[in-house]
Amino acid sequence: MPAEKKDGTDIEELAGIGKRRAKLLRDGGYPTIESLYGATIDDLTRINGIGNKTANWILSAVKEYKGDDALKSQVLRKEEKKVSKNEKYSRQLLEWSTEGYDVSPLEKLIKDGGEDLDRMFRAYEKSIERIEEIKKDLSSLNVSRLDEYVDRIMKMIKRPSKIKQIEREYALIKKAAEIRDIDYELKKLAVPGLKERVEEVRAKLRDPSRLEEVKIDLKDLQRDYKENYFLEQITKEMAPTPPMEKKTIKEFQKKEKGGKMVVDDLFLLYKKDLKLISHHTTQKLSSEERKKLLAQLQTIRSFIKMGKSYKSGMLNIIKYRDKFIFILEGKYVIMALSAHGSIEKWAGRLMEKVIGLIEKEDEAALKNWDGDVNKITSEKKNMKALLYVSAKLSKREA
Amino acid sequence: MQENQNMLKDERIKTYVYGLDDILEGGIPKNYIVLVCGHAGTMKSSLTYSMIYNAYKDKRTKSIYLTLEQSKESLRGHMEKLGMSSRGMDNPVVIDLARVRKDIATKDDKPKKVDWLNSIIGVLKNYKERFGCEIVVLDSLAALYALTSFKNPRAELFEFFERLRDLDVTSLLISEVPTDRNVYGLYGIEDFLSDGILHLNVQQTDRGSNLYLGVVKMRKTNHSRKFMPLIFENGRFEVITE
Repeated sequence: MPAEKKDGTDIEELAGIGKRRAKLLRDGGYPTIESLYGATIDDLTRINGIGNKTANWILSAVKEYKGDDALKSQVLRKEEKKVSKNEKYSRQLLEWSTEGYDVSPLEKLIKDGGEDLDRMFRAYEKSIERIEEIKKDLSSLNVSRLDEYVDRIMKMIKRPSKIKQIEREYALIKKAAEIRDIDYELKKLAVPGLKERVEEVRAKLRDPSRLEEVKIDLKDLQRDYKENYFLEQITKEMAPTPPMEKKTIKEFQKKEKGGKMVVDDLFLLYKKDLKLISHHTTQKLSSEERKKLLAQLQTIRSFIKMGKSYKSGMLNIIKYRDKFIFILEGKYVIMALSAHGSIEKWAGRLMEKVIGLIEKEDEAALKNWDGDVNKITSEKKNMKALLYVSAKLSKREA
Repeated sequence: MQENQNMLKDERIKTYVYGLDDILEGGIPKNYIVLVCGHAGTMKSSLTYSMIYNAYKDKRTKSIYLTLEQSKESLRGHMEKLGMSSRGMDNPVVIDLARVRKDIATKDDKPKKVDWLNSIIGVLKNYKERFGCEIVVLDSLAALYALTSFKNPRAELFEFFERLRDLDVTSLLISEVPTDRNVYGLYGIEDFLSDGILHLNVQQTDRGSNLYLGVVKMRKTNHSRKFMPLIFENGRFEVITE
């Protein structure tokens, strides 16, 4: 007797459905053949693992089961009516080929009347189940920079007869992904002090048989990286504060004899939270330069926040790449002027003057500023004026 | 829901000392400041290191061990001998502040005054934000005090403990007990500033000496105050309760 469920015939009784597909349907809410009576192609294709062709095939099998008693009995198991093995296999082959699998070895076997048909079908079914698992795993694996491996496996993924090679290739992809990820982690640790060790470990990584050893080394390096980070930070915290007074300007002037001083950027920050009020520049910036500008702003903020070298009542000068940055604070705002060339004293005087003007004109807004830049109305004209005057002064001195 | 909240409130960090976690109703309450104190040679460092070492092995609990006396190499070498090798482990992290201390002392341009208390707290905060950290060990309070010139120890230590508490980490502070006084820290105020005290003690016998551990204080925990023999065997500490 076929397996009759309370509310219908078990879905596995549908001829040619196979265990895997029966499971997909069951999980998708179709436990019996009868539960598929009203289903549409759309309903079935919503189930992960069932495509259009398979859905079509299932629905036509259901239609046959439903509409024709004679056919219905054909789809039931042997107990109802004996279906020839070849017919059952043909249906199975049709299903697999609709999914794109290469079934030619089985077709040949049927044609030649091979004796091992049962065993071969079972092996094929098992291989397809495994291939589906591998496909699922592959879809969740980050395969960037592994194109070569992916191409190789994709060439054979529809050939269940190649399951051993597929498994081998899959293992290779997983290992390559792991090596890629470890290499990425190692690169992150290549800071001064660890760089040589990192390179040694990366060299080991070229030999996949040393992967386990590399994993251990990676953990050690990660630990040492954290230890170094802490030590660096604490050493910085305890470093003596360099004097930042007139003497420093003179020192800078000695070192920076790079021609006339040219102002590049002006930043105005709100003193309380270092929020950017405005930025003015003399240059046209590409997107790359804008990124650099953000890094520059970050440096200014960090310098002020760290507090060690920053002197709040004085003109501070820091070196930033090929530029130097003047930082001066008023009552409510902090101005940073970034320039290149030599250092000139007039920059500090101009900044002081402009800060004074902005704070005087917009004192009410700046006192408890709510972040609305439109409320600071004097900032634009004064900052532009500073840029204009500094350009004039640069020319004069040149 | 209420039960969950209660469980969250009562989250505990296991000590991984056989028998002790039962006495402590599961371990040290999370984010507590606990003094691990005793005379020299009472295995304070080994016991504390074993707690963070096993916490990482068991639950991947991240921690940091600040050593102000012993060098990192010496500490790691010692722990390795006790079966706690850190090879292939990215935790616990051991910070050799003893070296920094030495470096600063030998520098020509050394600053006149180094604020160790605040510097350590500030860097711990940054470190925690960047790498994560649940347990901090400070070895030892006495060494830290030696670097700090307190004007008002009571107020400054109170502030240090408060800032430590604000870090939201469980702190294990190793403290050498002064031999001449019945207190658990040099200034005599560490006892009440801390949330718990684990006291290690050596008792001489005819055959040698035995190590004992007592839970002197552990807030929110109904614990025994008995001193129990503490043994170290097969890489693990154990208290003998009966």
